[in-house]
Parts: sequence; C-alpha cells; structure tokens
Amino acid sequence: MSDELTRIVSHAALSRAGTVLVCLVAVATLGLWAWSLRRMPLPRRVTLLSLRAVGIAAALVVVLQPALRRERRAHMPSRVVVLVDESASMSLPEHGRTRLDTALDVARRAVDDPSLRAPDRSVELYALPPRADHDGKLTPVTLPRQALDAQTASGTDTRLVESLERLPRSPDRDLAGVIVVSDGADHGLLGSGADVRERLLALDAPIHTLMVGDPQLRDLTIDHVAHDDFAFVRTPISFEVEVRAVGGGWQGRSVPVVLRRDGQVVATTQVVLSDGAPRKVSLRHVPERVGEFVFDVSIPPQPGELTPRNNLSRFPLRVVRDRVRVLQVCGRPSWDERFLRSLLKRDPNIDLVSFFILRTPSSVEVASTDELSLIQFPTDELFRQSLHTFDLVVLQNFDFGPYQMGIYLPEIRRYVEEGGALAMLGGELSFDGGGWANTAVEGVLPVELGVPAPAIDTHAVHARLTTAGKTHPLTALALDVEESARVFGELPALDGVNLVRRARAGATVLAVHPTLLDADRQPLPIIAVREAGKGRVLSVGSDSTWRWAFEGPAQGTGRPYERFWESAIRWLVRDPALSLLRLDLDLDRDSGQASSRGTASPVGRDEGQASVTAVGPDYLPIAGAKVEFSLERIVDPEGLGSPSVDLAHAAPEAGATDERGHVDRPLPTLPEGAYRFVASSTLGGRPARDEKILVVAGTERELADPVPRPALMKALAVGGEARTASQGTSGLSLRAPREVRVAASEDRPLWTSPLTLFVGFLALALAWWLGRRWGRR
Amino acid sequence: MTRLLVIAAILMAVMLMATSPALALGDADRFDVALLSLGQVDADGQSAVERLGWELEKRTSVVVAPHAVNVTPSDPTLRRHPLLVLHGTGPLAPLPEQGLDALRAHLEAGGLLFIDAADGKVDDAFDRDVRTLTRRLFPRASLAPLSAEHVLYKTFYLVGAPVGRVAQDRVVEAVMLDGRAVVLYSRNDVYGALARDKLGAFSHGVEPGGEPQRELALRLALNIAMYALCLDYKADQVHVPFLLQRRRTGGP
Repeated sequence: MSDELTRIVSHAALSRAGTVLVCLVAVATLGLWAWSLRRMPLPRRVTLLSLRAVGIAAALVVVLQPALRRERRAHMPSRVVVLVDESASMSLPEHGRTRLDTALDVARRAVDDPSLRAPDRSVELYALPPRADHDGKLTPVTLPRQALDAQTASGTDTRLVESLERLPRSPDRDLAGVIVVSDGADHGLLGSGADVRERLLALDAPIHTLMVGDPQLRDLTIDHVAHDDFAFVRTPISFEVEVRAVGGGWQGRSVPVVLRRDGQVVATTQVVLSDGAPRKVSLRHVPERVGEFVFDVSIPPQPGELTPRNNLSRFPLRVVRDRVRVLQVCGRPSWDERFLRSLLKRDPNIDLVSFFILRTPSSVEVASTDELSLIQFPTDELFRQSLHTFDLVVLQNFDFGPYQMGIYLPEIRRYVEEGGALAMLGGELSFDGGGWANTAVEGVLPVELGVPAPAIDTHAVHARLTTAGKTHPLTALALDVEESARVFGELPALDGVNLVRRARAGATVLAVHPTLLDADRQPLPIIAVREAGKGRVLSVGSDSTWRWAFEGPAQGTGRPYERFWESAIRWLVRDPALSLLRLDLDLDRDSGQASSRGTASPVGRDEGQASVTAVGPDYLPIAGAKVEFSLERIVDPEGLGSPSVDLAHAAPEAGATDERGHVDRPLPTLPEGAYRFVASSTLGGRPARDEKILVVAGTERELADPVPRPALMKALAVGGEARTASQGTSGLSLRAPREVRVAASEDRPLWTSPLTLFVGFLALALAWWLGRRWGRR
Repeated sequence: MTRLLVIAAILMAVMLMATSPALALGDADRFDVALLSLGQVDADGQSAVERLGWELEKRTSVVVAPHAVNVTPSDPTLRRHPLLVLHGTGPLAPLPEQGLDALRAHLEAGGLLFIDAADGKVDDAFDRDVRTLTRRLFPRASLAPLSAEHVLYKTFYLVGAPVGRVAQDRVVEAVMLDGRAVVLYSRNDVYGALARDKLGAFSHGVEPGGEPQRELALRLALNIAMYALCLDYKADQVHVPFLLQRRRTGGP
C-alpha cells in the first residue's frame, strides 16, 4: 500500500539553522520598517510596508530557493500472527468436540477475516511447539492452512510467554498483532504468576487472546506425588499424594487412591475431596526386594470427570539396600567365627544377626538355665519366617542335624533360587561333616558332596588361585592380576580343608588345593562360587581364613582378609558394580543429561541409547557374546493410562559384543507408558541379564490441571483484548505499520527566476520613491 | 586275660571316640590359651589352662587344644594364639620396644590379653608393672573398671561377681579399643582357683566362699574365653529380652 505527499523544501545549501536565521533576519527587518512608519497615516503605511514585504519575500526566494516536492510513500508489509495452542490439554472434549477443534475453527476464520487481512497485511498461523527443542527453546512452528484438518493436540509443554518470545521474526514484514488461541493452561512463566508484562511489551505489538474451553467443567487430578529419589529395602517409604478436585460437586466425597508396584497393588487409602482446594494423602509401602520398579498412584475414573487421563501418575523408583542384612549361623565358637563376626560388625553397611551354638546336646549342664545366657536357637523364626529378610545367609561350620532343621532346608534352597545369597564356610561340622550331602541345600552349593567321613584334611595348606580366581573380584586382592596372585600366595596357610567330590557343573572354582585332587582327579576346590537360580552361593572349604586377618602380611591390619570378605559379600548380594552383564540407558544424549531416573523423553522422541557391557565369570570383557533385548510393558490400572501396544518387534535387534565387551543399540520409539527393558546373554555358559525401567513420559503435566484459566489469558493480552473463542477475531486492534520507504520523489522549483529578483527590486525601488514623496528621508 | 584286655581296650577306645569332640580341621584349628611369659612367677598357669580347656569342652561346644602353650612377645608364633593370659606374681621383666610393638600389634589385630594377678595384693610389684605395661601398650587408653552390664559377664554364664581364688576386687578392669576390650585385668587370681596339682586335687583353697566360689571363678574364666571367641555376641539385640528376664529372676 502507498500514498502521495507534497511539501515545500529548500534547495539552498543552508542548514536548517541557517534557514531559520535568514527568515528571522527578514522578519526583523520587516518589523523595524513597520516601527519606523508608525507615524505615517495608515493607507500610506500599509502601502509602503506591503511593497517592502514583497521585496523581502523576493530576497528570501532568491536566497532559499524553495521548491515544491511531491513524494509517493510505500508502507512496510505487515502480518498478524495467530498462535494456536496444540498442547495435550487442548485434546480434551467439551460439548462434543475438542478444544483444539474450536481453536482451529478460530484459525480458519482468522485467515479470511477482512478486519485482519489487508493488501499489505497477511495472517500467519503458528502452533505451539510440541515440546522444547534440544536447546530448551520453545520456537513456534508454522501451521499450514491446508494442514489444519490433520492437527492433533499432543504437546507436552505449554509455555505461552516463552513461545511468544520465540516467534520467528520477518525482516520485511512488520508485526501488526498477535492472536493467541488457547485454554490458558500454562506451565511456564505465565502459569507461575510471574510478571510478564515487560517481556510481552518487547514484542511491540498488541496481543489478543481467545480462550477456548469451559471453565466450569469438573475434574479430578493427581497433582503431584512427592517421594524420595530412592527407597531402602525393608524400610518404609511414604508417597505424599496431592489430589485436586476442580469444578463443583466434589466436596466431602471420598475416593480411593491406589499405589501399585510393577502393576501390583501395594497400598490403598481414601481421600476426602474438597472443591477447588488440593487435598493431601499419604501412602506407605515397605519394599521387600532391591531393584528398580515402576510405581504408580491412581484414582479410579469418576463419573462426570473431564478426563481420567490425569488420574494416574507413574514413576520409576530404585530400591536399594541401606545395609546388607546378614544372618551368620555358627556351629560352635571359633576364631574363624570370631574374626568374621568382628569384620561384619565393624562394617556400617552391614546389619548382622548372629546365632552361635554355644552348647551342644552332649555338653555337661552344671547350672540352671537361669544362670546361663543361652537362648533357644530360633530355627522356625530364622529359616521360615524371616529368611527372606536377609540378603546373605552364612552357614559357618554348622551342622543342621541336632536342631531338627531338615524341614527348613528346602526353604533355604528356595531362598537362594529366588535371589538370596548363601555362603557355606568350612570346618568339621560343615559340608559332608555337617551331613549336607544329598540335601536340598547341597543342590545349590558350588561343590558336590558325598566324601566318606571324616571328609577333612588336617594338614596346613596354602590355597592356590585358579585362572578365574586371579581375575574374579572375590579373590582379586589387588588391582593388578599378578599382584593379586602374589598377595594371595603370601597369605598364611589354612589349617586344613574340607574334602568335596568335585566342583558342581556351572560353578567357578577360584582357589584349589595345591596337591589334593577331587573325584575327577582335578585339584580339590577350596573356594568356589556359583549362581543358583537368581541367587549366588559361595563355598569356602576351610575354617581358618581368620589367619589371613590375624597373621596376614599387612602386619595386623588384616587388609587381604577384609578385602576378600568385603568382595565376597558384594558379589554374593549382587552389587551392581560386580554384575557380569550391565545395561545402561542413556536417555537424553543430545542434551548431555543422562537420566538415572529412567524417565524417557515424550512420545515419539527419537533419541537415547542402550549400552551393554559383558564380562565373563573371570571378569574379563567377553567379545562376540550375543546380547538379546526384550521389552515388557507394565500394565496401567484399568481405565487409565494409554492402550497396550504390540511390543513383539519393538525391542532392538540382538547384537554381539565387541572386543571391549560392549554393544550399543538405539532405544526404540515407544508410546507413553512404563516398560521393563531387559538385556540378556549367556556368559561363560551361564545366563546373565540386567534390566532397567523405562518410563516414557506422556502428557501428565498438561493434563494435571486442564481447566481453562481466563485470568491467565487476560494477563497475556498486553495491548490487546482478552476474548473467548466464540467472540472471534473481528475488530481486533492492530498496530499501524511504522516502517515506511519513499517509492518516488519529484521537485518543482518555486519562483526561482530572474523575474522574482526584478519584482523584488522594483517593489523596493517603488517603496523608496513613494517614501521620499510622502516625506520620508 | 589277654582277650579281656583287648576287649576292654576296644571298649575304652569306642567310649573315647563317642565322648571326644570332633576333630576340627587339625590341632592348630582348635581354641587354645597361650600363657604369656614376661618374667613373672607362675606356678599354676599350665594346669589352670588345661583345666579350663577341659571344662570348656565339657560345658560348651568349643573345641579346645589339649595343652597350653607358652609364648613371649618376641615369639614368632605369638600370632598363632589370639588369647594370651598373663598369670602370676612378682615383678615383670622390662619389655623391650620390639616386644612391646609385637604385643600391641597382636592386640590391635584382634587378640586379647587376660592379666590375672595371683597374689591378689594391691600395689605390689605385679600390679605396678601391669599398669606400667598397659600404659606403655596403649598410652591413650587406660585400665578402667568394666561396668556390671558389660557383655563379659554374660558371654556364657550370667556372672554377678567376678571372683577368683580370692574375692578382693568386685570388678574386672579393662583397656578398651574401638569398643572391644583388648586387655582384661583381674586381681582375684581366677586361674589360681582352677589350678590342680599332679594328683588332680585343686592346688589352692578358695576364700572366702569355698567351693561355690571356685565354680564362680571357673564361670568367669569360661566367660573370658567366650568373650575372646564371640566378643559382644551376647549384647546383640536378639538376646537382650531373654537376658533381662533372667537377671530379674535372680541368676547369679
């Protein structure tokens, strides 16, 4: 659009000040002349003054050289931006259609609205970004008009002010105004109540808001679940749940709040609702196993709710040991028992429960029970009721026979196979000497029994490390393999050993007798380990490792002894650092922020990597090991969460480890939900697996408080109007274009001819002549 | 007659096998008490330790080495014996620094030294030298009476009065290191109450309590052995309610 402008300009080479000065001199001259003629009769005075004014004017024309300039001016094109909120809260249905449907209708009409469009003013459609980009910015995306019918409301991050600040600038189009179509469910600066006026004024354009959604709708939402970042096994953990009831009709109603772990209900409580105000309830749970789990808190869908999708909050939670709980059962007091107890008691990370058999049935009684400090050996409490509460059971030179424990041996085996750890330490009451052959417990031991009595060798011996023993963490007494073997070789001799038939298939023998052979003519195993089911078992065929502490090479500090047993306990209770197969999920590599919480990016985000490291039973990297991946969906509560998906082909393809024992795979794109991501392999002939929880974040935050917020939309309308969508865009004020440019210009000189000079001279001469005649001197 | 002797010998052997404790993993693996020799006069230690071992095997499940051993601080086999007993009377020979270091390292590594004054006198040479020795061993710790609630008094028997051949002190003193008693000191001649002569009779009378007091002295000696083997096992929470109840019902 353009228009024409005509004005007078000066061609004289004078500055503006010079021009003004010349004009002032002319006016002053004319004023002096008028003052000098004050006594003259008026007709004569007017005549003379007019002639002199003509002369002065002619002189000014000559000096200033005026010209008539005609210009044609062109305005900068401008644009009106319509910003449509496509966040998940806009997907909510109201009165038969979604908020987004309403917003897109507004956008369609705005494009054709004559009050917005003009020859040099366009209407541009943008949508809020579905989520922040890798830099954390929220740059709106172009919304092609032809694509309006294909839009979905799936954005996870409504931050209106931040997005407006990132509106793309146009170098050749001025911003005439912004129209925001949203429900106002903002989670950024605007929603936080911050003063955003100054930031919005920087846009230098009026901002109009058109609100969609019905503020009177009813909804229940789990606003927030507060909990610790991790939980300790066998220690209560609280989940503080904040429930918000929006809209009327909730007051006094009681609804259940359910806590689930991996899909299983573990706690339930009731919350009494209050209209508008959030209510808090607490759920308590005592995790009994270590590991990583998916917890979720949910409220069953209630009649008349806006949406049930915000009735669920799920999150991963790692359950760790605060202290390793160890049960130490000894057949008789001995130095071996005493030094191991001392070490275990000293370790602040170990919760030790000891039971020592201080007196046998054949012991002489010379005192009444009240004079003794002895208590009944609580076999039922230990081996039936509380066995699962221990991370490690140490049977140290212990024979079960005198205590009617035969009925509990299957319990011990089941405990191991379900993930418990067992250590059987030697002595004449252990292994075959304790009658453990052909029992349920023997089946999980790393060695086979069945050696004829006395099944012991009483000669002092220096145990010798096997090849596996030199690298296995349990017998790695120094960082360097050779140094470790040297330290082990210098340990004090053992006083004797238990004889066993052979190492059990699948066991790893770490230390052997240098001369004695087993039934297979192989060196007699002294220290061996084995994985039995989900548990781990250690056998030490001697009861004199205490000499490593008391007579050890560290001159009394007992470090090799401590290192051996600390490593043994870590290995037995599956310290993650000693796992053969280790799976790590790098969930946000692009931002450089690996998540340890297992919360992945939102739906459809294509990033993240699964990294697996495999080592053999000797803890050396294994090359060429086939690693398989699988995914398991953790089912959401009924009526809540997202629908199930086919995971048959979702897991990454199997891969072989490289020479460093590594294999990497990109994480698949998964829909919202909770998954157990498993890597498995066979390492050293034994199955190995590791798993991680993957919670693919959805739109929980968007739906946490989906009720439209007129107040926020009003606060956003800086320089413009806050309307509802039904009021449309007609008549909204727009900023006039300020940037202009001159398309064409033409100057026509005024009176700058010799005639002007002559007329001026003539007028002055006539004035002089008449003045003389009328008596002027 | 010869046949009868053979049968008797076989029966005797069977009986011994039936009543003897298990083998342990060799003699070196059994519990033993080493008599520490620092120049004191000790006529009763050997027989007292053997008596204690016999009683230990009969009354408890501990497997005991058949004979006492004698060691000095500079003995290379010192570290084979976690429980040391310094019993006797008279002055102690000055202990050189090397021996002192070896003894200190032994105790710090987990050993226990039970000092048993045979004379039962206050401020005599033995008592004076023992206090000097403990000060040199652990300058930052000192001998102090154990409280009546200490686990030493309940490691096997519930011991009310820590008496020995005499009963002049009502307490056992101790040097504590990281919550563990590394030195125990009694001036009641506990081992003197256990000592026997070559004919098997007790070497000394027990005053003032007579034979009941000898039994109490034996119980204290057993408890000390059990403390060496089990430390504070009886202080574990699982034992507390039972032991409190028995204390209330009037155990000794």
